[in-house]
Amino acid sequence: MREVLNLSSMSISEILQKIKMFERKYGKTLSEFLKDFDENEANVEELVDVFIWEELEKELKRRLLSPKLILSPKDAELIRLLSPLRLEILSILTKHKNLTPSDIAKKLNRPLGSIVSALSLLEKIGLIKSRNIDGRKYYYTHLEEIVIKLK
Amino acid sequence: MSLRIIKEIHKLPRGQLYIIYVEKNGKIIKYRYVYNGYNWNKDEWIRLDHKPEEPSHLHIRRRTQIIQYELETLSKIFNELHKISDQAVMVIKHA
Repeated sequence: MREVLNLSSMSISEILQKIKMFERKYGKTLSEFLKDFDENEANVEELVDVFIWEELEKELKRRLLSPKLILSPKDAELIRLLSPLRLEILSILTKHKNLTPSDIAKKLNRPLGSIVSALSLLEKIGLIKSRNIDGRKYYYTHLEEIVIKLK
Repeated sequence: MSLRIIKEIHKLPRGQLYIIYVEKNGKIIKYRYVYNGYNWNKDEWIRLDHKPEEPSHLHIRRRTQIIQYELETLSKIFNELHKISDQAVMVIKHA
């Protein structure tokens, strides 16, 4: 039996779908799974799965950390999440590194609550990151461009 | 750039062999071979791993009673492993 996963031709959504399959199977994310995982105690299935799971996560990270995010029609679900407000936030973060939610709310003249929930979603799908400095949460992105390929 | 993950399962006379590898532009850059005997538990296996910049390593995990091998038996096992590991690494190198 032979199974081939062609990572280079998979869309971000397809990679996410495969990752979700492992998360459902083991009831945790890869980083949670790896905390308790000992390769020398693992069973055969885990040894096979973790090898594939790590590669999928690595490829996803590589794509999301690249300045140019390429989406295809297969990523419709992800594209749907890019509402005007979320795109505005992404755009602001490409110009100003390390902004707090209140900085963004002021710049966009929007209520803090909607900015916080938009930031949390953008972080969850991996388009932005945050770091804590002196007890305050700062957001940033590596993105510079989002390209939607129609074929 | 072409990047693929390939998983193969081979039924061998005494057990099953799982081969998983990452192929970048047609070249294998990382692999894991896991063998599990039909009469072994699922957490008993022989595994050969290779990652870039790391030596390939062979692990054997078998449940045993207290080990009371004689030097002669141990020497036979390690001699055989030496030969086999040379062959295994060679095969991969030229694959």
